[in-house]
Amino acid sequence: MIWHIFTKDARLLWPIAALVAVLQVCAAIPQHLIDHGIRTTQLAMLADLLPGLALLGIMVMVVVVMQQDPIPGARQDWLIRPIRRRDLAVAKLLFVLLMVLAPLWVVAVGAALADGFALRAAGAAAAARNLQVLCLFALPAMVLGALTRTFVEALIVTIVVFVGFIGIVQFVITGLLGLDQSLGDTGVAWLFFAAFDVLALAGSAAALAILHSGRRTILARLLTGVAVALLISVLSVPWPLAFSMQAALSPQPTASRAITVAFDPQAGRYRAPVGAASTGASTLHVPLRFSDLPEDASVLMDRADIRIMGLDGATLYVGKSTRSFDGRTMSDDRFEVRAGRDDPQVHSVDERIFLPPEVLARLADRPVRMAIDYSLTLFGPAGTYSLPTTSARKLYPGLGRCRTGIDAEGDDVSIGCLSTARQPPCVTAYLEYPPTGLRNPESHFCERDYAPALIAKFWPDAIHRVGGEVRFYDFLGMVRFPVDGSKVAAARLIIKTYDVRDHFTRHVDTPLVRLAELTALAVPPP
Amino acid sequence: MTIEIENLHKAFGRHEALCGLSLAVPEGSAYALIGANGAGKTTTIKTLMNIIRPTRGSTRILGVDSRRLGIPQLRHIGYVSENQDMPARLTVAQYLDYLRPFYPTWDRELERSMLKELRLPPERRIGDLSHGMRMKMALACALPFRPRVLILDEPFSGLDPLVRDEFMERLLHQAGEMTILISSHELAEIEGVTSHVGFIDQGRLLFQESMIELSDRFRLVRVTLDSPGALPTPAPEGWLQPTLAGNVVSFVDSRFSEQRLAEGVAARFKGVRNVEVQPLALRRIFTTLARESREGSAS
Repeated sequence: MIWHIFTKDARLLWPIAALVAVLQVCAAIPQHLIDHGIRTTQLAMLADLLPGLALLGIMVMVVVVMQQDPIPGARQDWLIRPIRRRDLAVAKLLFVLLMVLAPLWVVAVGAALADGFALRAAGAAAAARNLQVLCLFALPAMVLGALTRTFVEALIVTIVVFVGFIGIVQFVITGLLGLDQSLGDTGVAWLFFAAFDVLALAGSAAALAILHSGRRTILARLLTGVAVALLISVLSVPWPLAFSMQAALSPQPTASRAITVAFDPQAGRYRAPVGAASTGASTLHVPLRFSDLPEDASVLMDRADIRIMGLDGATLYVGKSTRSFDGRTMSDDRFEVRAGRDDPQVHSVDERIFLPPEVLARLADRPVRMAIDYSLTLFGPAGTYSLPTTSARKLYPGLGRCRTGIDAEGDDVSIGCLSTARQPPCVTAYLEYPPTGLRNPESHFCERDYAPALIAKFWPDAIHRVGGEVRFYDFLGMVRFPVDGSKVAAARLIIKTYDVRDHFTRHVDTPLVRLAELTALAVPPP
Repeated sequence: MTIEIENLHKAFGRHEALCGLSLAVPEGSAYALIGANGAGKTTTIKTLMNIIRPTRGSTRILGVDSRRLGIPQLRHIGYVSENQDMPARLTVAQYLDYLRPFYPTWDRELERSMLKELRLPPERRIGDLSHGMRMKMALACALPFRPRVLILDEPFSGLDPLVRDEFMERLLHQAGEMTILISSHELAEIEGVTSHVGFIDQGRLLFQESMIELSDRFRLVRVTLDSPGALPTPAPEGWLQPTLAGNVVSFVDSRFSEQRLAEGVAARFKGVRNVEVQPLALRRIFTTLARESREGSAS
């Protein structure tokens, strides 16, 4: 009877299912066009907006199908029919799989095939994404649909849960309890989604079993509340615990053992590069010295927990920093140190710490000590690729299917690589002119996402992307590139990729310093 | 017994809807569960059908505890209720198509004749049907599989006389094949089909007996006196709702026997000119009992 119930729902809801499938197709088109070099503001907006609408459509569809045979209440006709509740639950799941997720899979596979991927790889990536969509969106929507009688009721519950979730996180967890939402905007944020996966899968399965076996809606609502509470608690998991879990998954857990980090008073006061934007008056630049980095390795700071103490040892300020700048890379929002460029053994960097202005104003001229706990990730080289500066999409194993070209302004070589598998999180790119060996400065970019391969990508689609632009001409004339417009056609774009090797922590104590001496020196006008 | 209810309690928060209700519906009978609004009729039926859970006590239908009602039993139980939400987006024909495979005994021919007799438009969506048409639709979904038990919860509520007639006519076609439990206020409608009656008030069953016994037991008595008299105080047991209008005393005798009535009248009235005795319709029995119960609980 499962198929019989399914066909009843399918006959009723196929127009909505078709609409949601069309929405999936529409959601895939802008990103596909962008991947093929058509970049407009409107397309970028649609590429952001439509996948969200498509996921919303999926959730609406799932809620509606569940409410075809509502569970709460005592008026439903199906309650007095010889219909097995298990059959009903399985029929609904079948509907979700065949009428909601199968079109999503087909669209994702179609898009990947259009990008030139093999059917097997495209199918596997789309299936892994579907699993994520099932856990994160479809199953919770099934529970929502099963717990409510009407769509309006479901909408109200969603709004209440969403507002409640934000309210509890913002006002209770962060505001009243002062707990840290440590996972957000870090490489270990995937832990939250993994916990969501597990909680949604286990919680939804349990809630649906309770609802369909005994129609115990109060118990199911309680269970759902517990699952949401657990999810909130995952957001507030202490950073040391989250990072130690991440460290336990390090591919080479001993790779960072020799690395030392120390305060470097010899480095002198930080001077911003000429032309660089001001880092702000409340920003400290802490000079650090990294030693014994493995060759061609890179270290990325995930977080620094800072404590500032007075002469008597009393704590004057406690804070954290997840954004910094080493003054040399082109990435302005991350603290990175890379080996293999200057002294292969010792590397000086300036770590940026943002202090509340009133704290800096209060402490600027007082002698203080700082104790800083760094959470760091070591990257090692994974592969080197040499690409022509203008080429159609071609497969580079380990990197993906890449295309290169000169951008519309004519000052950058752009590269975009698509892959059905997870790509290396850090990439270095530069232009090299083979006849003379001349090189332009490197661009270095790290995507802070340390999710294991089994956590599939679901947003906006199943395709992993890495890309960017490497400059060879400055319209302002302030920078002259060795490999310029005259050489770019014959130049090669060199891409170096870096994989995570290890996650580790280091503690740094500074001697007595005045914070005013750690602010940036004013940059004289050129 | 096809249906047995023992010491059934159901509380909604602090309100106790059923307080130790017990009743039994013999096989092949048409049992009318009557009672005022809020007496607990619908709660009893929903508990019996395992739609809601009892607080305590037990209900059995077709020999099975209601809490364990499964596919084998539900295949033989028809249910029609004024509070029955059928899928509004499906058409009449689509819903019958959907239901058919769930019932191995579904009689397609019977379904066709019912659709015709009840004048149900197969292509119309259930959500677009009027209330009366929806009730007929519910009946059309409850009878084609020839149920052993048919449960009707206020089936005439809000129906116009024409639709009631069509509904009853259709019901009477099959009444002999099954056990019927019907709760209704429309006592005139069900009187012709009912074999047993249970009177429920404030969650308790006040009595249950066969329609024949009930009809024999209740009489409207009018005693005409020679001159204006007074109501007997206290009224003899079983004399309900006594009234005095001039020299005529009226009451409902709920324990009627000719001899007992004659003795009672002779003992309490002088100068009796005439005693008129009339049988009572179910509706009048119900209203008398309901008033009596209300006054009893008020005092």
